Amino acid sequence: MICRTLINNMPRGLCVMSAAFKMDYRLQRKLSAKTFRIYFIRQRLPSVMAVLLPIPTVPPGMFFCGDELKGPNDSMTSSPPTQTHTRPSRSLVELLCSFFVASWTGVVKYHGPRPSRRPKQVFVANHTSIIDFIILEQMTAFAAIMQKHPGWLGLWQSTALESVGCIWFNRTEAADRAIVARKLREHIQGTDNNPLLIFPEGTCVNNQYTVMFKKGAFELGCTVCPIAIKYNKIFVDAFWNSRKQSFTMHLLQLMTSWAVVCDVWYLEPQHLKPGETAIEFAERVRSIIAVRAGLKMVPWDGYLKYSRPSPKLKELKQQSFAESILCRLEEK
Amino acid sequence: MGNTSSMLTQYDIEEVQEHCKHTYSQQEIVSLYNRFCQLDRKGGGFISADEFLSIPEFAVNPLSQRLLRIVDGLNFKEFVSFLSTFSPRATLQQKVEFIFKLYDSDGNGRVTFNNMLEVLWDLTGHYISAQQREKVLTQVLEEAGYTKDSVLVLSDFMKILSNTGLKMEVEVPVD
Repeated sequence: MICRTLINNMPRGLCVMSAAFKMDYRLQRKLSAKTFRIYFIRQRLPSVMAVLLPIPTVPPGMFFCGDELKGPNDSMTSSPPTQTHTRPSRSLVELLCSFFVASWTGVVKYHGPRPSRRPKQVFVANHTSIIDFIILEQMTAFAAIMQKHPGWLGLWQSTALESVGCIWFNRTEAADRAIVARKLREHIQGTDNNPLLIFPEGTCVNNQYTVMFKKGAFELGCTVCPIAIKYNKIFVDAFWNSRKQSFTMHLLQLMTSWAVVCDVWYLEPQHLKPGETAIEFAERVRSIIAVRAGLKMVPWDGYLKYSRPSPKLKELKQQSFAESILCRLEEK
Repeated sequence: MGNTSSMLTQYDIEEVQEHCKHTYSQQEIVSLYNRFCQLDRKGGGFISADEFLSIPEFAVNPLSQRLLRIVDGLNFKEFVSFLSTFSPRATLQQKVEFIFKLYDSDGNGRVTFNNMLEVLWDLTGHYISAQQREKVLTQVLEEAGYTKDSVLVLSDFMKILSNTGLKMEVEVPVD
């Protein structure tokens, strides 16, 4: 299966490699006052080494980050773990993520001003796969809110990601929402915490559409900084359909394809306008992200992937039809 | 990807076209086949009621239970002929026949006052009372020139709906 994928992808892969080699070294570290672009170039890291490199680095890195915690952390208890948010630990997480990105030959182009650490701000992005988080993490150490996954991914989440201060939630529990909202608020109020990254779609989407944003991130009363992520489908389809594929298979698919090419745009921070509701604010931010990344906006709820639509929607339709009939009846 | 047995051959497409009386072009049939394969999650070659309910717009449709009676367990040929009613090339006769089938839940070729009451109940739920429903329906029948006790057949439906400018069309996206 792997040989066939490699052979199929060979012509595309050769284009990528030659493009990477032609890239100008001078552009590698060009920092202007307002914007920067950093090209991650694979000239010095042939693909073979890129695959082998994370193997000796990731486990010690994971345990080092894990050691910063004191004892096991239960997400439901209120006392937060003592996290060291110092520069070295953040740089280590960023380094770890960049090795991971290198292992699947990620060619990421960042546009826009680098996110700055400021209190009372939250980052939102569209979601295609859990690797979105890693791509963003290699530039800035974010804390994210995410669903705990089973298997070795869950292990990685509980060790490496605990150190940056991630919040866990469970989609299937109804009472979870209030607890999560409280934890989000506490995280933002804390001065020492890493900037919070939220994926308001609530689920992975196929990078051609954006589904309705959940309003939780927009009700926190702080600045919302949108981030748009767009993958180039020619190289690989980075959409992770978590119901069809386990993360291991998804990762294998990414690693055996020649490159994961994507663009990340950091967009202008947005505030809640006077007289705007949280839902309207969410829609406005969604349109900004969709326009920048070239995605189509659709009015569907991401959670429809997991459950049937609620019967209230059917009742709404029945109600509107009943009202129109009664109007006609009264006219007679 | 690359499972060649799931590809449609030219003969298959022509056979399906014959069955649906040429209401869809060949490219549209290929698009419909892709959609059929997406919906048929279990890969059994037919779409069960459960798989139809996974379409959100279908699940919130108040007439979904009635539609499910018609569409449960359709294979691809039947799926296309079911959807042929919604093609812009379908005749008004086909569309009215479909509507008649929806109303005629017992399948005896006759639509009584009670059948229509049931459909109205599906459409409006508990937002109007039983008396109001009866009143609405009697008025509708009177306007059309029928009484409360008349039993309607397909030709009556054709007569009533032929002047309404019934559209009921769906566009099949072709890549």
